[in-house]
Formats: sequence, C-alpha cells, structure tokens
Amino acid sequence: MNEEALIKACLRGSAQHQRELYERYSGKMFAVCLRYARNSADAADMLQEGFVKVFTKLDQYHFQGSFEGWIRKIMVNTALRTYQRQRFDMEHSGFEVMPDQAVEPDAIARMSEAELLKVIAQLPDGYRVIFNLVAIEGYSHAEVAQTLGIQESTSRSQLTKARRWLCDQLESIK
Amino acid sequence: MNDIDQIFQKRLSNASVTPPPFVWDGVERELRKKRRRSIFWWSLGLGMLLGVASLTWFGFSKTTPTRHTSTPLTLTANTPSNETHLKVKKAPNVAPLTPNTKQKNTAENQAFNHVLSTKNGLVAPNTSILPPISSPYPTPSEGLPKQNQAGQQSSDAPTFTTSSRVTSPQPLSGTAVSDNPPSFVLASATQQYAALKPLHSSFTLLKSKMAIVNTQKWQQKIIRKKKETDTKCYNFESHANAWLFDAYTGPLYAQKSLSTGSNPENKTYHDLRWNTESHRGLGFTAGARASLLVKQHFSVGTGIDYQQFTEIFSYEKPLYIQVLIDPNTGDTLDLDIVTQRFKQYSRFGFVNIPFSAGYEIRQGRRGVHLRGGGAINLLFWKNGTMLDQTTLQPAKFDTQDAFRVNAGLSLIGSAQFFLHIQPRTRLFAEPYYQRILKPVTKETYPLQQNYNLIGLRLGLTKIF
Repeated sequence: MNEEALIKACLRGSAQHQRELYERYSGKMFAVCLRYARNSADAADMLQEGFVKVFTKLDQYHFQGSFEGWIRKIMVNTALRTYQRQRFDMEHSGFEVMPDQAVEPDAIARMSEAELLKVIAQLPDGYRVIFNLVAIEGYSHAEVAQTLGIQESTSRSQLTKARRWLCDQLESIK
Repeated sequence: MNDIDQIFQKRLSNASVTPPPFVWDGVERELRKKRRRSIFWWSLGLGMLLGVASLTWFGFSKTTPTRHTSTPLTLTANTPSNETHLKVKKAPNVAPLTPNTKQKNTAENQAFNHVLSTKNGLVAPNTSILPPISSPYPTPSEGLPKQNQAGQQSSDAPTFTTSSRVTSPQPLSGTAVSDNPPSFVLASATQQYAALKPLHSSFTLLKSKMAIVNTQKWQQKIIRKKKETDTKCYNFESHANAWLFDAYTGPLYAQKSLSTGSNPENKTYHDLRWNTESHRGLGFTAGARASLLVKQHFSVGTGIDYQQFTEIFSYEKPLYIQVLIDPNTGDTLDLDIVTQRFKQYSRFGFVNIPFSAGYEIRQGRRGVHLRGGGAINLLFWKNGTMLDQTTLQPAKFDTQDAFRVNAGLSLIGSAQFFLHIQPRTRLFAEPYYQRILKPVTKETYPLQQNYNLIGLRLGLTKIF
C-alpha cells in the first residue's frame, strides 16, 4: 500500500492501517526520541505521545512535503515539550570561544548506532537538546533560540560545550 | 559545520531502533480514550444545543391565552382607604375616527385628565385617558363612547360605572386581563367636567399627563409579566393534585473512600490499592421519575435511576532489563530497567429504584422542589482491575471475591430548581447528594470501599 492510501485509510479510522503506519515509521522515530531522551523509558513515552498526536492531527497533513519529515517534526516538538515540562535549565548564558577539537573519524565509524545514541543520551539535558537540534536536525541557532526561549549566544555556547563533551567521551571510549 | 556534527548527522539522522512492543498498546489505548472523549463532548454539545434550541422554541413561541378572554371583565383596584371597583367591558370594534371627532375627543380627554388630577389628585390604574406612547391599539380617546345630547351613552358604547372617587394607582389584582386596553367612560367625572372647566390650568394638566403616562407604563409591565406567568405556568390553585413525570440525565461525581475497618493489619494492602487507584470517579446519571403532587406543595415519588462512573487504575511494574552490549568486544556497556505502565479504567454501574418525599415552593414560573428519600439498589455491576489481596498483582474484578452483588440502600437529598416553559412543561436542574449506606465490598474482603455520589440532573417535567 502506498503512503497516500495508507494515510487516507488512517484518516478513516482504520486501526489496522494505523498499526501499519506505526510499524513503518516507529523505528526511525524511536531513534529520534532516543536522541532527545535521557533513557529508553522516556523515549518510549515520547514515541507514544508523538504517535498519538500523529494520528489525531493527521487531517492537518495536506500531502505536501515529506510525510516522514512531518512525523519527525511532531516527534521533535514532543521531545522538546517534554523537556520544557521538566524545566531543564541551561547552565548559563554567554558565549565561550573554544577551539574545535579534532575527532578521529575512524573512532566514530567503528561505533554502532546504538553506541552513538548511548553517548548522546549521556549528554547533559541542555547540551543534548541543542546538539540534536543544531547538529543533527539542522536548525539554526536563531530557530533554536526562538523554540526554546533562550538567547542565541546560549545556544552557541551549549553546542560548543556539547561538542567538547562528546569528543572527550569518544576519546575515553577509544 | 563541525566534523563531529557531520559524523553524528550522517550516522544518526536515518538511524532506526525497534521500539518496545508496549508502545503501540499505549498508542492504541490513548486513541481509544480520545475517541471516547470526543464522543462524550459531541454528545454533550449536541444535548446542550438541543436544550438551548428547545428553550428558545418554547420560550419565544407565541402562546394564545384562552382562559382570559371572557367579557365583561372585572378589574379591581385596591386602595388603602377607598376601594374602587371598575366594571369594564371590552370595547367592541371601534370605528376609525375622523379628524373632527379626534380633535373633539382630545379636548374631552384633556378635560378628563384635568378633572381627575384636580378633583382627586391622582388617577386610577388602567384609566386610559391619554393614548399610550406608540401603542398599536386604538387610542383611549378613540374608545370613548359617543354621547347623545341628553347625556346618555349610545347603545354600542362600552358600559362603565364607578361608585366612588378614583384614588392612587395600585397594582392590579384582577385575575384576568384583556389583550387590548379597555376603553370606557368615567361617568361621574364627565358630569363634573362643565363645572370644573374654568379651573383649568396648563401646569396641572401637564402634571396629570405625566402621572398617567408613568402609571400606564408601570401597569403595562405588570400586565405583561402576569400574562407571561399565567400563560406559561400550570394553575396549581385550581388543580391542587397533579402527577409530575420527570426524565433527566446529567453528570455524576463519585468520591471513594477506602478503609481497613477494624483490622489494621491490612494497611499495606490498603496503601497499595490507594496509591494505584483514583480516589474519585466521573460519570453520568439518567433516569425517569413519577411524583404525585398533593395539596399544591407536597409530593411523593418513585422511578428508575441509572448511575455509572469510571475510575482509573494505574500501575507500574518492572518488565525487563535492557542490556547494551558492544558487538565487537561483547562487553556489557549498559543496563536499563524498563518499566511497564498499566493504566486501565474501572467502571461501576448502579440501577436503583429511588423513593422520595418532597415539598415544592413556587413563585411565578420558577420554583424549588426539595426532596429527601432513599434508593434501593436493583443491580450493581463493575468491570475493571485492582490489586489482588493475596498476590498484590493487578487482577480483574471478576477474578476476585471482593464486591457485593447488590449495593443495598442509599440515602438521597436533592433540590430541584425548575422553570415552566409551558403550563404543563418544566425544565429543571437538580443537584443531589447520595450516600451508599453500606460498603460495596463484601464483609470477607479485608478493606471497606464506600461511595458518596454528587450529581446534577438536568431534565424535563411533564405535568398531568
């Protein structure tokens, strides 16, 4: 069944097709959630909440643009809202200029996706969210600042610290 | 973009990890709940819409008074010292006035006003000497009877007699009113018209006109209100005994209490249950009731009543330990304990036969009906999950010997606020409180589970 037909079947409320749609995208979306969550239980909660939103707001998808991108955006927003609810605090605002640390690409290449996710999960909340949004999702610092209600300089600072933290971690694993 | 960013983006942007199987169950459960909620809200909205529509329909539809059109009509104006009884006949078809007659009548009219104000100081109610402002009815002067030369009233003129002087304006206490303002002749005043004509002064004329206009407005307001009440309220004075049939539905709130009774050993089980179950439930009530109203105010009634409410059972238990192993070295990198969360809905339903005695107070179309009584439980059904008393694990109600088959007797008190929308139809809102006297759990069960119910019945009463 193609994507459009599947979405239309879900819109009609077919539980069987909802399950099919879930199975088609849940793996990728769970990986997204794992990147934002502190642990797999939190990620599972995010995934559940996100998919409930997907099915209840499905009528707002107008078959324009990538459906996977639409779901991913819902998951990211759900994750962000979860952490805003938990009132995570950015450590401090202010921009610190730090040299980029060189990372040996082979060290990362040898690691599995699960290991990389594990490393990201160990990042402090503030670092993790900003690293995910900027480095992996491709949001600009201005967008991140607007979404999280922080200053752009804070976003930059957190990203820099996240990178350094990751490099240290990867070095220690290596 | 930084190298590390690129590397992570490349590896993780399309990564896929199989989620735990219980996530889909949770999604399904949430979707079902949302569907149920949306059905509930749609039903509530539809019900309210129907309610508003029926209120609008009944409230604003024109009703033709049938009991109040007999002629002649008698209006009685009671005054503190002098009582004036005006026998009024509704004017027959009044011929349109010609300019001449209108002018003549206006002159007479002014004279009458002057006579009334100067002679008695005040004017009688409903003595429509001056035309009401923008009235759709024939002006009072148009309704004045023509007189022949001998001072006799013409045969087609409405008759009117007054036995004493007219005094201060008072609310009408007559039992009926006519649709059109009655027109009449003040015979005694007419006779004095010629004698008092020289005393005419423009100041007193203006004063008397203002007094009359104010009286008319005030009077018309009272008549309108009375007419509205008369046409929309059942006449309980003439029908002291009546049958009232109620049909109702509305929201229900259930407050649960759980106690160990006389055995404190069960405290652990009590606490476990108390922490895994909601302490209150929401639901609905629906039913029908027949009451016999005697001596206008007292009632006895019975009927059939259904109540249902839902409680939440939530429970977390460790499901499995997730181990993260390095595929290259085989080393264990991490252990993650994943918990499984249960969230289930427990439902309780009661079919009761209520019985009550009451007292009704009315004022116009509105009133309050206070009831007190009880209810005998016919059926008590329950479906849900709670912790088992021996295993302390979640288990369905039907696998546990915890609840009684019948909930027994309840005490109920209510206050019904009603509004007549038709003589035989009322809308009402009735908050009530119900206490189930005995615990709904069996005596052999270690805990005692009690309920207090608070609800709101919204419904319709038909009077026979």
